[in-house]
Amino acid sequence: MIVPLDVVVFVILLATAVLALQVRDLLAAVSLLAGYSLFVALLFAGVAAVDVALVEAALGAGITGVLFIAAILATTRRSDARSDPKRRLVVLPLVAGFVALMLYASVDLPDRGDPEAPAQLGVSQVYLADSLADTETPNVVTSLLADYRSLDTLGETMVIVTAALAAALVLGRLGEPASWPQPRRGRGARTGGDEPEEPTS
Amino acid sequence: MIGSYPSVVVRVTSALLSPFIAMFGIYIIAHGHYGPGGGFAGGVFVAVGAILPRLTLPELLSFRLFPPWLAPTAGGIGLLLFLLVGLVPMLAGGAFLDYGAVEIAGMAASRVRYLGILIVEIGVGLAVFGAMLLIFDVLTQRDGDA
Amino acid sequence: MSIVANLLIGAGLFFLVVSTLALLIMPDLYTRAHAVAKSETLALALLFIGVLFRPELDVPAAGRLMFILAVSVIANPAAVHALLRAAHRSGALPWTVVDQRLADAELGRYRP
Repeated sequence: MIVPLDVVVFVILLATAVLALQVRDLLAAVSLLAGYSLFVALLFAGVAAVDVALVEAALGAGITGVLFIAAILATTRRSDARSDPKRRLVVLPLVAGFVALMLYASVDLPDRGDPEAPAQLGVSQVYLADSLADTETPNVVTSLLADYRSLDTLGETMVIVTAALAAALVLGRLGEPASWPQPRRGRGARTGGDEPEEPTS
Repeated sequence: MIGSYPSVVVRVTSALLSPFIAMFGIYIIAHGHYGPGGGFAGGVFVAVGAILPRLTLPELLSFRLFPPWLAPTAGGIGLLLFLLVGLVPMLAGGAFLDYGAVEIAGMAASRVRYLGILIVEIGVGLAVFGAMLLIFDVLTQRDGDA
Repeated sequence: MSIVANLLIGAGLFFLVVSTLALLIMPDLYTRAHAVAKSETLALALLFIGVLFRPELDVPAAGRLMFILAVSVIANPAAVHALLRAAHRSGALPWTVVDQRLADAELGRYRP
């Protein structure tokens, strides 16, 4: 749509991604990733995919950052040393070749918003035309997600709930009620010192 | 990480904002028919409205607002709601998740599908809310060795 | 009407530019945040009120705009406050101007 803005956003995305990989401090990497998600959301909003932009901004820049920081506080803040340069000699040509292959393949892709693109000619025409009459829903994304393709959404919901339950089973101990966060203060006698402020970590 | 944040500015601000964030999430869930949004984004926003008091307010208060059993219960109820809504059309002779097959007196098939979408979005929102809050609770629990 | 809107939006853009300049010029975290937190909130308020005066805006959009403005006016300074508090607690020292004569006196090179 606004091509120069897209170029600027892409440059920022590349910069934040490379910085997040390079930086040793994991807390800084998390904040860089949050900024990355914010700019991805801007990009999505630029191509008029507001639903995806909303989810990306809330999930990528909000909750994921909080969960990562919680994980960092539970483990360690510094990342290990970089890998040895010999391995880089193998990995770098592989990645460069893959990127070149993708760029070569992207030449044949249809333009953005092209009405003659193969993705636009299939069932999506029917969905766009019939959504209002079929489901009284002006937002086609919602009627697609929750009506036409609701089986996909069911699968996604199952994946999310299963992931959360798996995290709870691995990290917590569901069988012991005492391992849940208790609304009483003086319980942490065993872990002792980290109950008062630990602002540096 | 959880517990009372030692700055009154942050505490007051988060106590002021978190109900509005949760309300905005409920609005997004309910408004998915007409604008951007739906269950996923709305559930995430409600979860943010629950996590913000966990981060800043005293534990006694935040765990009374959103008790620890709420997260897995909400996730399970949301998923179950989705599955049950999918099963109802099968009782009426339709396919799985084909809400239009249910016949309610005085209601067009499109209206029934509209309601089905609404219930499904609420279910997805509950499930996402429960999942996010459960992961956060598990990551920040005290007495476990995590 | 439109002139007022353009004036307010221009003032908002000016303050945004000023806060970005401050982010580049200022020497340390505290002065940067001090400059950015206030001028950026002010710029946001000016921009939104300016947009409010545009004739294209209808009432629901104006209400949403005001809600966003209220939330960001509350949240923006509080976020900067939390950030600076964390920085102070983790030991970031503020930038200070070294008084050359005082330093010389401590080193014993300056006799008043």
